[in-house]
Amino acid sequence: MSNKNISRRQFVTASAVSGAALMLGFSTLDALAAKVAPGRPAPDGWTPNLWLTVDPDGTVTILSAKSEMGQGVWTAMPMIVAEELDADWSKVRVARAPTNGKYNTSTGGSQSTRSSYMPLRQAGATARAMLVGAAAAQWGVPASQCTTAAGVVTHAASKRSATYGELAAKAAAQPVPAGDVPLKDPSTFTLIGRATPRLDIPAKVNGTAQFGIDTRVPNMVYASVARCPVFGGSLVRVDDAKARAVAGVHQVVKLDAVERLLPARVAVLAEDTWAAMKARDALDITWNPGPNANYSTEAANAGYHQRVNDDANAGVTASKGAVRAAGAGERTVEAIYEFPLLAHATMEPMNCTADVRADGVEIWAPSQAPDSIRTGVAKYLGVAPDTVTVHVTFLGGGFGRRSQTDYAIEAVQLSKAAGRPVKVTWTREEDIQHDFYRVDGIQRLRAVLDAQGRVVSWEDRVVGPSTEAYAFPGRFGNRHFDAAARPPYDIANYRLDMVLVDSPVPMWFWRAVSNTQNGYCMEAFLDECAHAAGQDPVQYRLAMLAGNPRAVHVVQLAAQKAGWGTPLPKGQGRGFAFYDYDGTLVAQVVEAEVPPDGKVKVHRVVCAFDCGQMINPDTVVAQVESAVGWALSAARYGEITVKNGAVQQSNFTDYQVVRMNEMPRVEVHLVDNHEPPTGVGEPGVPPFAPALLNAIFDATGARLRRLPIKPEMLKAGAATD
Amino acid sequence: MPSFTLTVNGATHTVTAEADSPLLWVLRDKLALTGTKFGCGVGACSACSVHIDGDFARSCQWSIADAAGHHVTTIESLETTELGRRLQQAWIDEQVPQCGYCQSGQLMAAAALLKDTPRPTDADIDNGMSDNICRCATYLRIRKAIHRAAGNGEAK
Ligand code: FES
Ligand code: FES
Repeated sequence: MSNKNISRRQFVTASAVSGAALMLGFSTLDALAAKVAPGRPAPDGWTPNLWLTVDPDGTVTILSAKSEMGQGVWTAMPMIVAEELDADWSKVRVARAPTNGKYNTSTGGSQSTRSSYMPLRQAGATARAMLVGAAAAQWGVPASQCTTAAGVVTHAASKRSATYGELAAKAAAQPVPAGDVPLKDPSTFTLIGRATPRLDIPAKVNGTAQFGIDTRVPNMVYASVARCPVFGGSLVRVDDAKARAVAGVHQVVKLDAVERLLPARVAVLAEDTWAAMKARDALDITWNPGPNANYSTEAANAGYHQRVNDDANAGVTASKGAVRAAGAGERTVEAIYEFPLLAHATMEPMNCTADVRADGVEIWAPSQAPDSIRTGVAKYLGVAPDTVTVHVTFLGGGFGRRSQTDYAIEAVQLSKAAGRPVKVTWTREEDIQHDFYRVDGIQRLRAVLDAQGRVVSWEDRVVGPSTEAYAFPGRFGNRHFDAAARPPYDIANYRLDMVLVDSPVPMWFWRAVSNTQNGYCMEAFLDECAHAAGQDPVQYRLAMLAGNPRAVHVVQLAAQKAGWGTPLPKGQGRGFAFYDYDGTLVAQVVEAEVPPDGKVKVHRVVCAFDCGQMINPDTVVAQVESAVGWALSAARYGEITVKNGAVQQSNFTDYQVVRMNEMPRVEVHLVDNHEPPTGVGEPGVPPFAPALLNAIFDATGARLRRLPIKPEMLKAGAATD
Repeated sequence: MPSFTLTVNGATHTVTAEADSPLLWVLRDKLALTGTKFGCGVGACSACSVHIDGDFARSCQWSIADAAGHHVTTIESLETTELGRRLQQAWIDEQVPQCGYCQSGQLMAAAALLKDTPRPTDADIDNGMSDNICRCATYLRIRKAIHRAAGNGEAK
C-alpha cells in the first residue's frame, strides 16, 4: 500500500498553508517501505522524503531530505519525481526538507536512490493523476483521454490544454488516489537515465554555495578547541593567561570527554576564527594520557597476527556448506592481508554552528545525519527533540564522517557555555587526529583448489576491531559490518569469521565501509588463487560467476574495453578485480607502472559498472572517477598510525592524497538497464586497490599484502614475496 | 588592534586585525567573503586560493600586514572578467564540482594558469594545478574544463 497514507487531513493542511499551490506530502513511517527493492529489507525503515509543491506559476518545488555532498542527490531525487509527474524540468526547484523526524534524512551507504526510487515515482505519479483529474473535471472529459508532457495536461480531441500551474488549485481539491497509481514503463522515460546538469553546480563555481563553515548568524562568536591528543586521556590543568591576552578573546571553556564521541577539551571563544586559533595555541595544558598512553598501531598489528589462530574466540559471521582441508589432488592457498587505519579528511574540515536558547536550540550543520543530531542534542541537553532545529548546509565532502554527531554536540556545549551562538571550526590537524577512523586489521584467507583449480573451500578470518563494537557496544553481537564479505562467486563451502579485538581508536563508516578492506583482501587473494591454478584471472572469475549473467557481463565488458590480454610496455602491468557492492556490480582493470624508484604510477583505469536503472548517468560516471581517485589516495598513501596513544599524522603534508598529476585516465562503461537501482557513490572504491595490487604483481611478480603501497616495498631489489 | 587597508574585488576596506591574521580569515570572518575556503592552513591544499595583484596566492599564507596595500581578488569577483566567466561556464559544461568545497580555489588557480599560459598542455595543467587538492578527485573534469576554457578542444 502507499497513497492511503497520504492522509486527507495532512493534504488539506498542507494545501491551506501554501495557498493555491498543490502540495503533496507523505508522513513518517509510511508503509511505502514495502515497495523498496522487493525481497530486500528496507535499510532503515523507509520514511518517504519529499514534499512536492506545484505553484500557480508552474514552478515545481521538490523537497529533498538527502544531503548533497557531491554525489548529485539534489538533482537525482527531483528527477525521479519529475519523471513520473511529467514536469517541465526547467521549472523544477529543489529545496531542503526540514529535519523534524518526519523524513528519512540519513544520507549514506549509497542508499538514497535505492530506497527512494519507487516511493518518489509514486509521489510524482500521484500528483500527476490529480492534475489530470482536475483538468478532466474542468473539461468534462474522461481522465483517460488526457495526456501530460512538460508540465501541461492536454486533451487532444478537444484541443484543450492547461498548465500544471493553472490546474494546481483545482488539483488540490481532487481526491487522493486510493491505491497505487500506475507508473511509467521505464522504456518511455524522458528524464531518468538522461545526463542532466546538476542543480547545485552553478552555486559551486562562484563562491555562493553555503557550506557549514560559511554559516554566519547574528551575535555569533568563533571557537577553536584544544583536544586531548591521547585517546581516553583527561585534563589535568590549564593555564590560560596567555590565551586570554590574545586580542579578541572572550572566554576559555573546559569541556569533559563525552563517551565514544568527544575527548577532553579546552575551547577558546573569540571575535573571529584566527583569534580563537591563536589563543588556543597559547593555552598551556597538561593532559593525563590515561589508560592508552602506550597504545600503538604497530603493537596492535602484531597482536592481530598473534590471534590469527584464536579459533575459540572467532565468531562466525556467515557460512555455507562445510569448509575443509585439501584432499588428494587438491591444494591449499593461504595468505594474510593487512590494512591500516584511514582518516576521512573531507575537504571541508569539521565544523558546526549552534545557538542554544531558552526557547530552543538551532543548529547549522554540514551533516549526513541531521536527525541523529536532533535526537542526540535533545538527549544531551535533556530537552524535547521538537525544540531542536537542524539546518543542513551543503557538505564539503561526507564519506561517512559526517554521519557522526560529535561536532554538533560540541557546538551545543560551547553555545550553552557562551550563552550565544557559537561556530566551532576544526583545524585540519584536529580533523585528522580526532577523526573516527576506518578500522585497521588483518584478514587471513585460505582456499582449497580442486584439481581443475576451482575454489571448493573458502575461509576468511578477520582479526581486528569493529566499528559497531566501538560505536554501539554489545548491540550487534557477531554481526559486524567489518566482518569479511561473502564471496560473490559460486563457492560451495565457505566460512567467514572474526576475532574481535578491542581498540581505543574511534571507528566509524568510511566511504564504502568494510567493503574497502574486504574487496581488497578478497580480490587480491583470488588473483593468487588464479595464478596458483595457472589460469587467467578474468577467465577464472568468469567460471565462478556462471549463472550470474549481469556479473558475467560486467566482467567481460571491463576486460574487453581494457584490451585484457594485449601486450603492455615493459615495466607495466594489468590487474583485474570484481566486486558486488550490495547489488551494484563493478569490474575494474588497472594499468600500472612500477619504475625503479618504486613509486607506482597508475596510467589507466577501465571500469564497467552496473547499478541497475541509472537516474543521472553523468553523475554515475563522476562518482566512479571520484571513487578511483579516493581509492588511489588510500592505496598509495592512506595510513593513520598511532603511537603513545596519539595519531601521528597531522595534515595533508603527512596524510597525503592524490593530486592532479597522479590522477589516472578513467574510462567508465555503464551498463544501461532498467533493473531496480542500486548504489553509486561507494561501489567504485572496493575493486580499485586489489586491481592495482594485481597489476603490480603482473608488472613485477611482487605480491604485496599490505596497504598503503610504499615505494620501499617495490624499489628495485625489494623482496618480492 | 592595528588597522590595515587593502582593496578586495575593487573595493577599499579598512579592517582592524592582529598583524599576523591570515588574509584567509580576514576575508571570511571580517569581510564576509566566505567563497574563499579553509582547507589546511599550512599552504598544502590551495583551497584558499585568491589573486593578489593579479597573481595566484594562498590566502592562508599571507598575513593581513603583508596583504595591506595590495589588490586582492576572490572567487566572488571571478565573473567580472571575461576569462573568469569562460572558466565558470566550462566548469558548468563539464559538470566539474562534486561537493564543491575545493572549487573556488581550483577556479582561482585555473584563472591564474590561463592568464600566464593561455593554451596550456596537459603538462602545464599538471604543473599549474597540482597544488590544489580535490578530495572528491574531480581532477579529470578540471583538466577538461581548463582545455575547454582555453579553446583547446580535445587538445592535449
Ligand atoms: S588552506 Fe591555504 S593552502 Fe590549504
Ligand atoms: S569537489 Fe569536493 S573537494 Fe573538490
